[in-house]
Amino acid sequence: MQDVNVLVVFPTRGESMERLALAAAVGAVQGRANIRLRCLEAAADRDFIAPRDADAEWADAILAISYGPADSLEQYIDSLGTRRDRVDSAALTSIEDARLHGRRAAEAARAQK
Amino acid sequence: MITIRKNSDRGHADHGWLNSWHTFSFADYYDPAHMGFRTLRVINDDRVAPGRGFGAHAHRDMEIISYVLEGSLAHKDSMGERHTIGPNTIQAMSAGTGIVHSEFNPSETEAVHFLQIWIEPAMEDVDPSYQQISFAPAEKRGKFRLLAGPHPGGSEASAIIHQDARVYVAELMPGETLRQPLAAGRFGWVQVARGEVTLNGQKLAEGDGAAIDAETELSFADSGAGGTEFLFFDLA
Repeated sequence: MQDVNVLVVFPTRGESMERLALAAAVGAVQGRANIRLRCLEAAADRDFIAPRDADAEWADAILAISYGPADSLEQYIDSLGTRRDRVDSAALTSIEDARLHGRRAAEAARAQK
Repeated sequence: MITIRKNSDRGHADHGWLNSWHTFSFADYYDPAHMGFRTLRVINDDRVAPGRGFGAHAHRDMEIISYVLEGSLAHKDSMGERHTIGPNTIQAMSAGTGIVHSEFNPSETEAVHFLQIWIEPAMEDVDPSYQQISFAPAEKRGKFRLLAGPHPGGSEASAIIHQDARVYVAELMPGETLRQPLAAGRFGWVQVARGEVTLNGQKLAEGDGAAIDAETELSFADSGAGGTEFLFFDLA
């Protein structure tokens, strides 16, 4: 099976947001992807770091995860330039949605390789 | 036959915040002659600086065991588990279909020293799970204390892993000895966590490992001045 890399980016800390992002990441792992999990919040603590250019370069798919519109996420996507075509931006409502979305993103990225 | 894996021959990575010795190939350390032993895939001897650790990362299809020797280790995962463990506690995770977790040293002053062990599971795609079992120090003094195995360990609680492998810890004081049979067809691995131990006449220092093949009786003796603690793996 071909390696596929999925970058999961989420805008803010907080337990519910983290659970959503973790579920998306687990879904991508279930889809047999390598994952990186990054948080945009400037004060992101030791569990998560902010995304770097190398992360987007590494990723076959970039999952931009949130519960709804998030300015910081939009700005991050805008900053990606030509790598924007790798972005799958999703406003999710449940943990199960997030897990399925992560899995599908991994599978779609693999299909495109 | 006993084959010693000397501590200084292990892979080594010093990242400043993390000082790690790899008994088997891991991360940037790759040696095809040391990819594991039987189903034992990883033994990392890690020292993590205060306030530092491993950010969120994923695992799949692996039995992951952490055993703290000094300090404490905070754990947070995608199953919602949030715990801090210290010495005399076994933490075992079955990654199965996939988990994401982070591990940190929550102390602002003390480093954490722990062994992280990966055992390949007998089956893929099991449901992820987390287990944590603490025990009294006396349970490992002068005897083997089962940490993990495929079945419950009787009167002493132990972690259940998806592999025909048993992980024990023992602590010996100066002058103490301990005997352990090894069934025909079984293999063993000894990893010295602290002090010095003599295994069937061969001296092992702190950080040394030993692969055991075709031995039926194992004799362990403390051979240092301050006692010893070691892990013993009984492997298919």
